[in-house]
Amino acid sequence: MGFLKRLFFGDHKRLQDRDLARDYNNGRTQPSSTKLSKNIEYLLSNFHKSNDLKVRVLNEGNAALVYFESLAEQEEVFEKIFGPVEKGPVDEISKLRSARVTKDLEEVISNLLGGQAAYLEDGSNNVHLFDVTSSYNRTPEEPQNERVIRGAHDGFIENIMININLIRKRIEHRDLTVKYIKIGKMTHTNVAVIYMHGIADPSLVQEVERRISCIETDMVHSPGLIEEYIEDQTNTPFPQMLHTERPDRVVANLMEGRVAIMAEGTPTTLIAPSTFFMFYQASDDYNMRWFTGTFIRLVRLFSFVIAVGLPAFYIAIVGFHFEVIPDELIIPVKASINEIAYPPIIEALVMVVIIELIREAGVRLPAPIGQTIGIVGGLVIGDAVVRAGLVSNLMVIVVALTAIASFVVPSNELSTALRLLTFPLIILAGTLGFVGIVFGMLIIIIHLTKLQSFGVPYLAPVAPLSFGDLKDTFVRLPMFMMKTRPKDSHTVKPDALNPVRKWKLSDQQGSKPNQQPDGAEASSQKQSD
Amino acid sequence: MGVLSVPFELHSAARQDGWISLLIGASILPLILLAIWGTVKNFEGDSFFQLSEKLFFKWGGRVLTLGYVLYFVSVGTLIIILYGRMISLWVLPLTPLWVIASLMIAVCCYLISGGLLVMGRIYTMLSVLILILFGVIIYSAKEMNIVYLFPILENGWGRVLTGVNEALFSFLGYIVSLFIYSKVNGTHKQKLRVMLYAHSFVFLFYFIIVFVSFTYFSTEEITLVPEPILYMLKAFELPVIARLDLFFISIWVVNVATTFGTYLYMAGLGVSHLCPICTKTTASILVSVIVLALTLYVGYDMGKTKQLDQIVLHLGYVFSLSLPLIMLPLSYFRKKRVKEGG
Amino acid sequence: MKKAVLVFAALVLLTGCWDERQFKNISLVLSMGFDVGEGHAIKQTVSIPTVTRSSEGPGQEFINVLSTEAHTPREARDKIDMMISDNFDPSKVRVVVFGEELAKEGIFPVLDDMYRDPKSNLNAYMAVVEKGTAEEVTRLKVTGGTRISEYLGGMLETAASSTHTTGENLQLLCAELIEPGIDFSVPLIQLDEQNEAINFNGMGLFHERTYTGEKISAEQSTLYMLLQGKRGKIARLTEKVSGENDEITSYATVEVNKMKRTMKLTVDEGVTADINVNLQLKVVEYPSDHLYVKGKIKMLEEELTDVLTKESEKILTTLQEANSDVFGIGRRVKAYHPDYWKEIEWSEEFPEIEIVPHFEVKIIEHGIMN
Repeated sequence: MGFLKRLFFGDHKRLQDRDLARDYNNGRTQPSSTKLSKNIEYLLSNFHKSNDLKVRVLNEGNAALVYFESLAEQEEVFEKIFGPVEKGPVDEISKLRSARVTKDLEEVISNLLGGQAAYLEDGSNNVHLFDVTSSYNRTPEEPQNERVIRGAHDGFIENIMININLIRKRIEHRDLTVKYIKIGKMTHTNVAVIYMHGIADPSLVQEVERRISCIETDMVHSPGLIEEYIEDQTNTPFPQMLHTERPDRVVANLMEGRVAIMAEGTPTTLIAPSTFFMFYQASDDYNMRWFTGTFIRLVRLFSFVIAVGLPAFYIAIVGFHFEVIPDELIIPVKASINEIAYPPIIEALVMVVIIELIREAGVRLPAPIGQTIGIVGGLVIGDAVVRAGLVSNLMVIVVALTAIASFVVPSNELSTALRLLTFPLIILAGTLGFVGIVFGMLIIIIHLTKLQSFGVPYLAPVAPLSFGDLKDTFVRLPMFMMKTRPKDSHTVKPDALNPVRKWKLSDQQGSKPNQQPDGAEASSQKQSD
Repeated sequence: MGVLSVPFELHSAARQDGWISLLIGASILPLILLAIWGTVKNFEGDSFFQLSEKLFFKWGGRVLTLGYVLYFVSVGTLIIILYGRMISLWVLPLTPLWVIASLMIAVCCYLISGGLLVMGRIYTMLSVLILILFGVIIYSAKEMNIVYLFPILENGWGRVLTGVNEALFSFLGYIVSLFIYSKVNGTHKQKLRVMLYAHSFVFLFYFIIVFVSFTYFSTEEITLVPEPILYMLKAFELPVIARLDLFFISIWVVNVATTFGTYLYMAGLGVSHLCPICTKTTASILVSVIVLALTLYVGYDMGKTKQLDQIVLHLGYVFSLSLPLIMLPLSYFRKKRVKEGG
Repeated sequence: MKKAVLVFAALVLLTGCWDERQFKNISLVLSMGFDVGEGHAIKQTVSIPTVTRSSEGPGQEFINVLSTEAHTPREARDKIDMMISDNFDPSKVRVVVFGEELAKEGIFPVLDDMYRDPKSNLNAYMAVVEKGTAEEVTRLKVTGGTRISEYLGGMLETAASSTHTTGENLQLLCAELIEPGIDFSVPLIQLDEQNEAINFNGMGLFHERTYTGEKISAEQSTLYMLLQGKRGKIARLTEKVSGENDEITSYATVEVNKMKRTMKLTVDEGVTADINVNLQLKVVEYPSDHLYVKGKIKMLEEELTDVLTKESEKILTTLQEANSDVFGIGRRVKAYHPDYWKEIEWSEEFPEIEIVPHFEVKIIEHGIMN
């Protein structure tokens, strides 16, 4: 009956297996031969007789099972291939239904590299492939570098499939689109471009794909490399793509019409296009009351000014314009710096470098020793340096404040950039005082305005000014006011939500007093993730 | 740019009636803006240089363009010199002029290298700073003394009219609209509205500054202080910081950068139009080198600065006041001819 | 191109910090005194505090007082600069003190240096030493070790907030110094050698640029300020009111809650200025009590009006005797009657004009007791 049904209603097209994640034979083909020894010979020579390639001879030498010991799971091999043959109705491996059949040895090679096992028979040019991949994954724990107090506590891991799974679980919609691109001639790293069809700008998606497919290199081992290959401007300290390891953050950005780029073997996801202010948004902001969220956001943005400008400002005052210090403070300030041997600019440079040393030492060392370094560096050196009269205690306060302010930024890349920018400003302030700082800041602002990330101005929505989008920039307005997606992602579908607090409207009209307010709140919460 | 010196100049021309001059000047100016608007509207889509070639034939247009380039270069030089003088008087008395000047010119080169779009974005962002200046000035208004504005018209209308002259030149920046009109998107009406808004904003700002400094300083005292706003802020002390003038002048430096950047951009446009082998970048670098050389030649010499000031004033009459008014009827005439010919 | 930029940057940044004035290498001058010199025109006295660092808390403080004679303040400054190890810097001067003699000769020439220097502090207070020299005041070692600048500055600030002085700084004085038709007054201080302290002694009246020698006493100064339309945070008046002979109960102390002061000029033949002061008062001290008695408040109001008017008349007479037009009546005449102004010589006219104070007093509060 089934046959008749197919005959009449089917379209008679043979469907191809779709496995784009593992399709990297670069268009090369090598038809398999009917001779087993010839096939095995070809495989072995192509793998340069690598020792972990296991060839198990079966059927008294008439068939062979080939797989990588290091990639395949022994148990899977038994369970999927030998088990059914021994127990079940099938008496030959070639009859197993779970197998995929191919006649192309190049495809076999790429599949073997993917952890599959190949079954070859003498007298037949059919090669049967079984998925026996083993993978060792850690659990999707919360990333150490992007912790939140409230909200989702999972994070990406090194396996791209699990990462995409985490996203798909959050967006159960057909428009979520994943495109695979293989890059790295040797490493064949699987890179996924993920976007929401119908929300993301198609030309943006095209541009991202174009840039990624243009990468011609032997090896891609970190998202930093991909970022440098595809970003607009490399001669700048500012990151132009957001790095994140948080699925909720990626999902929120996808829903704003941005594109996420993931790579096999790394938990870090790149998000393009990114703007400067995105680096100051944290998932926590959306889980708080909007008053507190706004307050914290403002504090964070203010920290930008402190991190970049405070040491320079202090040096300009102490070296050039001390008349700016108010009357009550002038004697204490004078007392603290009176007997310091070095000029303030040297003091500042030395202290900033010391802080960087402590930070770097703390990161590189194992956690328990790292803490010790922090204490030794921060407390002991700081105190001793002041007592010795090398650095004034005011300078220690200034530099420590600067360091703290730079760590407030949620993104590590931007925080490093800020700390780097302190140096030229210190030098300018030490040369020309306030005028130097003004010029330094002016150059930074011009630079930021000129930067673009995938055609989007980096300083959007401040320059070019888009008044409506300031709702999620300096402040975080209540969720129900975020009716439109930000313009900077050039989204195709600008509306983000219909009135989520409709229950209140109907309450006022007095029509349905018994509606559930929780439902409306919950849906607004969903949007915020 | 004129924030610091406008009150003094108005006062030296028209004494305490300077604010009347400013009012009159500001109400005359929209006429010139309308003239510019009428001219460029008649040549839809043409840049200013194409337009001038259509108006005055090819070589006439080129000479005119060259004239404008020279005008912009001299205005730019004057800006840099005044800025250098102000910085050296108030903040850095010992720093040589070449450092202050070349730093400013270099930053402005970088500023205009991004093209008009980026400049527009930066200006929008930096206009926040003007609000800060506003706040500072309004804070200082608590010591106002209206009596100092009286007697009105003590010195008659003659002085007020010389003041109008000064007032007009404080609005010189409007000539920009002639050059960038064709490069901006929008309908003619929108653009005119923007031009008028910009003008009224500048007027409001100047008016507040003039008003505050005229009422804060006594009539006699203001003749002694060339930069009344700075002098006034010098005495203010907030609980956190003292000496607001230093902050004011720092913010003012940003305004100088935007003003000078605009002139540099326009001069660069002119040069790149005149000499086809120059790209916009090389043209603006060329212009900035010329400006730097001129600046260093003039230096802090009061006499030479005065001469340059006079030159700029006279060029201003020709290029900012007369030419737009001449071009308006000419443009209607030409447009008709072109239509008939076509 | 890139190299050129680098070379340029290196040139700018490495050739030096031309204007650097390191704060630690500077001797802060916090108060200055000027007197008439013996050989030269002026004698300048400055106090320079030096603070040594200690590992915790503020260190010890030494105060160095130096005097020198010179032709001009700038020359004196250079001379003092030779006497000290660091650079002399007056940009944080808090108080400028004038000796009485020098103030009588004129203060503007001395202050010119302050007004001309972009770094000077125009927010400084000014005071004149009555019957003494500025040097004595600057050299005074105040018990408790407070710096003289802090002591004087604090004193003048409190005086301003309790409506004894105008609280004008050098900047505001400058307008009145230069403008014709407006005079000003400056706080007077006197050295109290017995207590090692300084007294506030009223306001010294200036005519044009010189001290007249006349003054408004400290007791009158609050009323004098109210007549000028100036009120600090607190304005408290103690006046003798009721006719009872008992000394202490015959006084009432009131605080000004709200005030409005207007001046009206009438010019025909001569100038008449009417000063209307409208006061809303709060009784803070009135030992004879019985304010609940009907009409008592009314009576008090009337008495206060009388007393205040009489006292004001006294103040105004002093002003006219000193020929010190602190109300700026002259500038108003110039502003609103320019023709008349051109006819007259104001400094001759002012002592002759009629200034009439009008008080309107209303008691709106009397504390938590009747």
